[in-house]
Amino acid sequence: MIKLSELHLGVLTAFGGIALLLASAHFGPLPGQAYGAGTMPRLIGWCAILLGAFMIFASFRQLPEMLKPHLAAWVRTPRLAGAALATIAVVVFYILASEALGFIPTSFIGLLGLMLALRAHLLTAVLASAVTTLVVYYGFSRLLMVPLPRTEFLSFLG
Amino acid sequence: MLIFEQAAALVFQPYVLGVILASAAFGMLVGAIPGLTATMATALLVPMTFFMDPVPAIAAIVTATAMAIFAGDIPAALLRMPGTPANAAYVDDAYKMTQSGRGDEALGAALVFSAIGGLFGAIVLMTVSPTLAEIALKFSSEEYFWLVLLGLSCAVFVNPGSPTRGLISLLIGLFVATIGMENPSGEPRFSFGNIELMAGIQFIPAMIGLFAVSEVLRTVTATSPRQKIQRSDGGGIFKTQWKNLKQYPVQTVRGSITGTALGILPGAGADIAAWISYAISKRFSKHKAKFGTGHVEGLVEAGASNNSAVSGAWIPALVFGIPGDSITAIVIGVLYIKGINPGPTIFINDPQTVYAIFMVFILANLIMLPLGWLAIRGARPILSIPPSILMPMILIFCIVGSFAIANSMAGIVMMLVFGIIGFFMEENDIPIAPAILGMVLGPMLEQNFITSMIKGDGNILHFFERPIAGGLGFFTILIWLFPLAMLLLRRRKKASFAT
Amino acid sequence: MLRRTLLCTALAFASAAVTVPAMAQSAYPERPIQLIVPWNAGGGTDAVARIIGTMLQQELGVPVNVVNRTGGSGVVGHSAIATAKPDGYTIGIVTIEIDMMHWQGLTELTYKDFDFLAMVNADPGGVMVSVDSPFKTLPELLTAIKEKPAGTFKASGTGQGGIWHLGLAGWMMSHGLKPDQVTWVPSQGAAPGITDMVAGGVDLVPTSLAEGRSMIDAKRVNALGSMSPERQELFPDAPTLKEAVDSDWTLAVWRTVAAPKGLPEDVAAKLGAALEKAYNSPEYKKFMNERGFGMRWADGKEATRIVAEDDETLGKIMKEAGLAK
Repeated sequence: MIKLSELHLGVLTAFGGIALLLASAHFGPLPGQAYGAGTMPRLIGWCAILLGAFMIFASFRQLPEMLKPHLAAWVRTPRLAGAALATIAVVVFYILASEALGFIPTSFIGLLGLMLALRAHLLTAVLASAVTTLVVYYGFSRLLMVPLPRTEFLSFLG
Repeated sequence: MLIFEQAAALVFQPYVLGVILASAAFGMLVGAIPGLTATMATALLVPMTFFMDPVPAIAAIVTATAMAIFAGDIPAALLRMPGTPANAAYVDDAYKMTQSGRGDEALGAALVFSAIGGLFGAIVLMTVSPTLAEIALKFSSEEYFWLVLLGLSCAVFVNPGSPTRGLISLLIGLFVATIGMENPSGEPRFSFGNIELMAGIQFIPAMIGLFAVSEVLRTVTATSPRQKIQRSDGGGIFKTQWKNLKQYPVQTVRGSITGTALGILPGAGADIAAWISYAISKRFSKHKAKFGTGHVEGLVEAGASNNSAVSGAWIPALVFGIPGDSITAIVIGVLYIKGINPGPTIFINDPQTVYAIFMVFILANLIMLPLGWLAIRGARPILSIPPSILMPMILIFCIVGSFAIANSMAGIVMMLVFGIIGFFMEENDIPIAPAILGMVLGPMLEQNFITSMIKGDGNILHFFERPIAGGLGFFTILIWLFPLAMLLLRRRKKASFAT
Repeated sequence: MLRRTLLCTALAFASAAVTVPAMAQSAYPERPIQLIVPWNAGGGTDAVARIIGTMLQQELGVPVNVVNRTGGSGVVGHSAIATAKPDGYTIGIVTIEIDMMHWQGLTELTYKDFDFLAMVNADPGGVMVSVDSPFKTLPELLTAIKEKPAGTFKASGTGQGGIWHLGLAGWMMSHGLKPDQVTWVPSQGAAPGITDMVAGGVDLVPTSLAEGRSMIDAKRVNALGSMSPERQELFPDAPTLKEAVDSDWTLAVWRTVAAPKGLPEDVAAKLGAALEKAYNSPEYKKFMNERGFGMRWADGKEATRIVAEDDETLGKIMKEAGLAK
């Protein structure tokens, strides 16, 4: 994505710290104590603010080159950017579809889609997706008792 | 001597040896799959142990857990997917060794030094259990507080690059650990009313995301195709280890001792042991700069450390029935069911069973060598799968592993989010290791700080009142002040030269 | 090839766990059942769930998989049970925390969201001190607690606002003391609390005596009292609160097997019968005795009544102790 300079990171860190302080403002202490749920977040918040301030201060020396963020090379290459998006999309697809479709179809479609997006051969991809799906399904749901989402119309497979 | 003969008779039976072999293979399999932990292996074994005699029942658990911790190194070295948090400390070294064609050496080192550490822990367990358990009983929240602070100072050493970015990473880890309501106040924090977030960020899915998913993303977005990994360096899995042992004897012993010591403490354990040992190794190394770039030294020390911690955790479990981790918690239950009540009297009432358990420890760590060799050899072909096929396969394993840890879809969401965060972090040279350390130690720091403050009615000096806590506190402050003092001294010298 | 061999060995080994008697005649159950546990593997609830699961598996003839859905002080797991399909293929262990978390404002979920199938265990609370403690009997301890200023004594054994915290507050209130007469030090469970007590970190631990059994056996911990109407079989030396200090306070944590609301009656009947058989099996009895867990049976109806009753009592105490929202 973007490559940030010490200055950017410093600003982000300091803002993160401030946000953390604000978000933990309403945590009260434990009854009868000076400390409680807010202690740790506030401590982290203050550390972040100090660190951010230090980073901003230290980067003043090389200010001009610190101002502009750089884009990573892959963002400008459509093929690679597409691969990154496809990877993320497959996980999102699994999260959304696996309850309804069941593990076997979801995993097969996801694997095949991603392999093709990464430019694997069609036949290899089909075979590899099928084998991986079945091995994972049997290994996890049968041997290791992990309740992977079931597929009603494939229930004869176990 | 009679007891030893009786114990040996209990262990060296075809049935018991068969159980050991089968559970070794089972533990190896479970441990090699990220998201499936040694705890899960143990829990799955429990229903089976209902139908076994005491010795094979315990043998199954001992063997499976010892294997699982080592097996976590296999995906760590090959795919940058640490199988357990204990393997995460040195994952970058192991992975980079594989990338440069030294995969066999990395995994061989993990295997051999795991076995050595495990054997060391077993011997300690056999000889001085009761004494050490007594010491462990003296640790309260104040002592753990100082230990955690010592552990946090390790962040300086596990951080490979710029100090400011290492600190950012540590703060991210500490923050992530505050999410949810598993804190001393029991108040939900940063969960926005979401039930899954109330439970906090699940550690394993976050770790899989930060290491493995980010690596998948980096691989598919690499502008120049990854260099083909040279197959085997001809060094063999075991051959190079003799050299490593001769070169790093101090590291091996130091790792084993640290691991055992932290394993005995019910509030510490294998995860922390590996990190601390890695940091110690780097601190005293002659080649500090090589750490994190594919250097075997830290792997030797931390590998020995995490396996010896597994053995160490059995000491308070056997002597006082105190569980040091979730594995020993299950074990204590099994012991009770089998009519072997843990306690100081276990050595008097059931000596042959106890010694049989010790023998199983030794056997398990020995059997690890051939079985581990098989597993490493068996896993090797993974490296010749082209990335366009392998990356999707890794991704599905990540998904299933993140789901399996709590059987919830939320694990997969967390994995994805942390995958993207990890990818972003590494693109900006923010190392991941300190964040993991923060996530491991953050909750302990908070728990022990808050509870100590409650006990001491808010008085900071309370942290020095108990003798061991005072000693540890003094030591910690000394370690923190030492580099500062050195810095000032150097400045003063420079200044005096200038004038 | 090698991996396959490994896999086969492991498969063969694991099949021992999956092997089940021939399928039952009736339609339910025809596939594996999930038994959700809202607490960690290794804890007491997990142990009870696993033995119940194993026994149910033998009764019903299908695999019963124990699934740990942990975190959020039990909210996550209890929600998972309540929101599952009420088809009998997802059941779970519901613990006393269901009567607490809605008072704390953590969830809307109450016992009314479940169909209770059976209560299979109950453990009364207790009062434990380290053997190094100057107090050897309950009256001595109570007198000291009364005489010293509030907050002098510290107790631990569960998180802030957890069941044993309430147990202690309830006991204090039964003597007319403030609920926070003894300061609560939150811990991540009974075992760490007891360990900390032996290390000298806290003065007493009011969890169930079963949790401290190994340390009591090892003569590191003294059991001074039991929060039960009668003395406990496994700890005959610990007097009841009534006997020792004339307090009417009793508290027992229970574990029930429950399903999401709306379970078909025939399924409920079948599960209830299977649970009763499992409960009465010698294996279950032996397991519970060896672990030091209390036996307690109540069928669905009776269990619902007990759960509802405790909901009211605990709510009252939490409000008085300022732990309710």
